[in-house]
Amino acid sequence: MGKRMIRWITYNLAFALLPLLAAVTMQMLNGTLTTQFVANSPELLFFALMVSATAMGDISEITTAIGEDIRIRISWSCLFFGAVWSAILYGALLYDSIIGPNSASFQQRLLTLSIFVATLLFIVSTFVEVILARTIDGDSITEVEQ
Amino acid sequence: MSLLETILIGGTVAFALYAVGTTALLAHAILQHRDKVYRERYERFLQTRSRVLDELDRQRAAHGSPRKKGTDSKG
Repeated sequence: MGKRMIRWITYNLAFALLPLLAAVTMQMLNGTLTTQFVANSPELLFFALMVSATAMGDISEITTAIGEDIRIRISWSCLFFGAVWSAILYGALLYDSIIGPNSASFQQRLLTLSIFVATLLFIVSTFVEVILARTIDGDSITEVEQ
Repeated sequence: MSLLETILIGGTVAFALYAVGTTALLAHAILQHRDKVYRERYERFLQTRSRVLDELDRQRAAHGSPRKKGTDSKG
């Protein structure tokens, strides 16, 4: 179980946050880091999209093996809804910057929503990964019985 | 607040409710050791697949071996 969780944290979470961290670091080094910059950048939504897409892909590893299960199905649907919603929020960000009035208050509120959605998707996908880790990498049932 | 913002907030609240429900469901499944059931099914699936692949290998070897064909034709 530990191996999968370490892989999840290292390769998925850390690498998904890397673009945001790189952008923030560059701005910080330049001395121009503002909340408005973070509100303008879509990296947080990409993080949300990436963790949900990865967890959805991981779920498909076991769906054939364990068959139909309501919990797994609901988790997949929730991740799918989250991924689609992140894409919609990204569309709203683009809409505001291209067509709309590009208002700071709208972007601030959008940033709050993005943080909220990203946090929720992080929690749901981590729970999914814990279940998958215990299913795929857990102790063998036959070995435990012996 | 514009219509777009209202739609975005409404959708986010709907997603939040769904996500909280799903998290509770998954936490309950973990506490109830539901993963043991999944693990059992997963192992059964792997065993069945392994058996089928072994059987296919055996059949392929039986049909594809030139030595056996030769023996058959001589016999």
